[in-house]
Amino acid sequence: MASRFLIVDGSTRRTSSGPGRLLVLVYGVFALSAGAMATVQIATKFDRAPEAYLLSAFAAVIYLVAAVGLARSGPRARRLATVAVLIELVGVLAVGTLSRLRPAEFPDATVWSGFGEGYGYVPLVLPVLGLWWLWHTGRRPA
Amino acid sequence: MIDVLAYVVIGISVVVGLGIIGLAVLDRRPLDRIAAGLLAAEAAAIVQVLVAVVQAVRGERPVEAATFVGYALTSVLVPPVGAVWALSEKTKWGTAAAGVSVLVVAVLTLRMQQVWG
Repeated sequence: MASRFLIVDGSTRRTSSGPGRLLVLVYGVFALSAGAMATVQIATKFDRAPEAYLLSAFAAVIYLVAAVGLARSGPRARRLATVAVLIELVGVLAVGTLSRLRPAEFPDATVWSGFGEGYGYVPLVLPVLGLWWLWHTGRRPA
Repeated sequence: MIDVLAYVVIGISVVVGLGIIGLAVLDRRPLDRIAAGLLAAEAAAIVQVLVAVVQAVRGERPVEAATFVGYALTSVLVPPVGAVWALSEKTKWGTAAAGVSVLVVAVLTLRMQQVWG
């Protein structure tokens, strides 16, 4: 099971082809929009909600790493993508839960607030699709 | 933001995006037509951002400025960069991804309207 994510030889399918092309595109869109947003927030009003803005910046970096990991081929890129997508899944679940339990501590929404409700729940679905895709392409071709 | 302009941008990007996805489903890849659609959607996105910049200079600011800037920047960068990435794969998935890169403009425009206030 776990070996499918961490296969070390070159016999796996490329993660950037087929549906992967679409997945990398969506990761890129999230990296870009979250990154641009966090940059402006940190530059103009960092004192208002530093935790939320740093969290947005962190999410942007994770999306970027996942996009690069999925776009490139080879075992290192596959490992990188798997780690990034797992962090993304934990992040959206943890921040989603916390933002529901203690809304006062999240005055400024991040991509992961409310399980990504501001983004059509795509941030919640994306890591699941990402993990499925990594698992699916981790099979050795028959 | 000017609502009518936003609806025009949403309309163009939905029609072009779904059209390209339709071509992908049919497994067709007429690059000249796809490029024309991409150009139309990109031109619409650029006009909208330029109008928003003019409005901002005149003192009309979005309520959530940072979010707006993030979406505006993304809306003009995604169709060209996304489509080049998508179309570099010559399969229907590549074509479909190009269509999605145009639909992203519609989604971002809706969000820009929301955060403008």
